[in-house]
Amino acid sequence: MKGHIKVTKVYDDHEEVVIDESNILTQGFKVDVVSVLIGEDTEVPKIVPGYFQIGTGSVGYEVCANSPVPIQRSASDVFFKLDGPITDVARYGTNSPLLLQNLHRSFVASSIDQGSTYEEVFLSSFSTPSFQSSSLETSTTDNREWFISLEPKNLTKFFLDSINIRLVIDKQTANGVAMKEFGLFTKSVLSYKDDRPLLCAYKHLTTAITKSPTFKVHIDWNIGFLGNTNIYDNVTPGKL
Amino acid sequence: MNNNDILNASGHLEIIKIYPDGKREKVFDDQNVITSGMGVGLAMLFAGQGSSTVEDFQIRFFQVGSGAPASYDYKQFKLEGPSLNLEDYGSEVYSSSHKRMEPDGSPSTDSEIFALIPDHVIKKSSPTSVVFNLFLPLDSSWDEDLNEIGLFMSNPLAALISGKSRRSAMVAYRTFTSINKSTEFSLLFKWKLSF
Repeated sequence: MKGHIKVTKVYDDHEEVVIDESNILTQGFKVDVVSVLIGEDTEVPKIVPGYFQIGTGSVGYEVCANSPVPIQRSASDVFFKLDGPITDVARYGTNSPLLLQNLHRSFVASSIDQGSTYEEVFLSSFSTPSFQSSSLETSTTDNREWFISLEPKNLTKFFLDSINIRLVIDKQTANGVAMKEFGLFTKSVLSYKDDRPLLCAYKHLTTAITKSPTFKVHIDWNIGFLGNTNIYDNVTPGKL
Repeated sequence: MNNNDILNASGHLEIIKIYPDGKREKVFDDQNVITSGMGVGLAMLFAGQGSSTVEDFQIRFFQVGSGAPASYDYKQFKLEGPSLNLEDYGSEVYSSSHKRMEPDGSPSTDSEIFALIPDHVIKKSSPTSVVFNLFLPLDSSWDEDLNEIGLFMSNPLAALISGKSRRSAMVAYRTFTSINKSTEFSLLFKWKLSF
């Protein structure tokens, strides 16, 4: 499984592709898959990507990803939050058409010090010896965060084994914000009653896009067996 | 694309002979191949399409067979010589006869025999891995040596094919050293999938 993201600035008279490359599928995606396989998740709609965050920071997972130490490399996708998500709803703009929701965020927690503290795991491998003494559990933040709510129209499917999510940051939204990171969240791991988003894919940019009213931003996110077996176009009930 | 950009789902299969006196003999221990059927199932799941029932996305069936190919990869979508007799799996294994999903989503021409994976043999070993303990009891036996096994997602296209019968998709596959499964021992397939 792979993730791919394409970010495009759309002006009135032309388009400018900012990035068109792979992204990182985070541990949250795997937590969701296992939750389904063992029956912890009981509702399919709760697993669907449902939320999005924009941030101005950058999670430095490359330090782990490029490490010569295998256990550090395996930690490179173990994070459940953006580095600098937009926390002030006003920064999205008063005229933004985006549907924003203030929700608790899910994460995997564990002790990293033999049980003295129990906290969100961040760029630490699940297989380090210190984790073996404590259980890894999903938990949620005490405070709420702002999330962009994805609607059914944002989710499309062109191939049997991949999905596409398109988010449009329109001209009236987030102007002045230096957008540098994007996070895609599933709705609710373990079927919490209320949605508690879990980060499943992440991408940060080398250079921030400072949003202005002169352009829209299209963010196209693909997840699946990309480029390998996309053999069946436009899945519809009638074709199968 | 860097390796950390990819969800490297992997699997590990151990095969253990268990004799009536309790003696255990590990006869196989190796990695296995996650097949593209997993991608179909997970894409359907995360797109909120295919089925609204979580059970349809669960790995609830397996097959054993005798047609191991010389080579295979993630595109493998079926066993090459699946067991065709319901009785072969023994008296303790519940089985089902239904269609398999082909790579384009269509059903296999004929129904096949699938062994049911009960709830109690599915264990979470970490937040990102799951273990299936698949058991072939003492009274299961085959005339031909077993040398391949596959795991199947129950019915990922359920909502798209409503009104039609179950269509299971193979999500993991492995060939192994030939085993002449007789009534002298039980077989335990300990299969770990890590995401």
